[in-house]
Amino acid sequence: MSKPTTRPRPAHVTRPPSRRARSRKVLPAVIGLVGAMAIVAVVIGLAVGSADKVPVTSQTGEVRVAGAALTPYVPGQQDASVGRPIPQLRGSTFDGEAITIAAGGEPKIVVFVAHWCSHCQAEVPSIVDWLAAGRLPGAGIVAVSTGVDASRPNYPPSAWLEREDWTIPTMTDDTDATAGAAYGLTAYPYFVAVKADGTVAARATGQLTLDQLQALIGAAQG
Amino acid sequence: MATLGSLYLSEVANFPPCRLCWYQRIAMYPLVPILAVAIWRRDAGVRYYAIPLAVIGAAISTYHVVLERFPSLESGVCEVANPCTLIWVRRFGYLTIPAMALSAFALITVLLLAAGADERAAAAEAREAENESDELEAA
Repeated sequence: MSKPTTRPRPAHVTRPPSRRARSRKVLPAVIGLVGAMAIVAVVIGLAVGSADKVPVTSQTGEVRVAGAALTPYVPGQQDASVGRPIPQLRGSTFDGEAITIAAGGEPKIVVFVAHWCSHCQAEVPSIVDWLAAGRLPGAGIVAVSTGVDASRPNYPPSAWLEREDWTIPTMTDDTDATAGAAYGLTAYPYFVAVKADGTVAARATGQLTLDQLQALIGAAQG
Repeated sequence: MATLGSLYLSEVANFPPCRLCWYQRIAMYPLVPILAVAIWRRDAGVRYYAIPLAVIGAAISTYHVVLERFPSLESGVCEVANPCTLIWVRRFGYLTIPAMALSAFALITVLLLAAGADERAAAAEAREAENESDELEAA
């Protein structure tokens, strides 16, 4: 008697199991899936839910702008705002004290920082160290805390700057980043070098080295 | 689960996905229907489609994790909108969102590779048994 011929089954295809066998296999998988989802929910809940909530109003303040806004800064292109007067900013510090950034007085560097920006987080301690070591003479430095968002990391900015021993006078921008927009901010951190006559000497974005910051101060003095 | 977690973070916790997050989503989201259909059809051949997606996703996640540690790798500035260097979540000192994605991609890859090895071993065993049976019948 000849042997019945059967078509060989491909290696990756298996015989379909019976309904009972399938349910026996599916049940542990469903239990495992639900358990794993619960673990993921707990991890995400822990990760997201434990952020300290601080009222945003103490970290932002009203900003009044007088004068024409600077053009948005585009690195690598000729800067049309160089030589133009800076707009006057009137606002408040984290403590609620009045602060004004305006033309006049000594050359100055206006630096805009955002609490959640990793480059600002790296730049702030460097500036603190350089100032402490007396390596940034020749210009005053004034800061604006902008881009404030309570849902983003490293909030609130006042606590961050206090931790970093930041003693530079700092204005709080409003929730619409009015001060940043008036100065042509397009990225963080953002630096505007201002001459003694109140005109823009140079602008820069990004994490600056000591040499680059000293060059900005030199431009403000020039 | 990674897909649900990612949707939770963007739609419920309101953490907007950055450019690299979107690339990881492109690799992760199709795995849900692909693997679901494969489980339903008991098709072990799915690994040939799913592993490349998981490996590509893992590569992007790895780059994102490295970028979080060394933000200057890509540029020296933070975009105003939503930079990829922004760390929304960090737990246990390392567990950021791209680190979670990397874990998921790695787990999927390892499980698919293990399933493939298991399948090959079972097929070899079946072939051996069939040969033995043929020999017995011939005798």
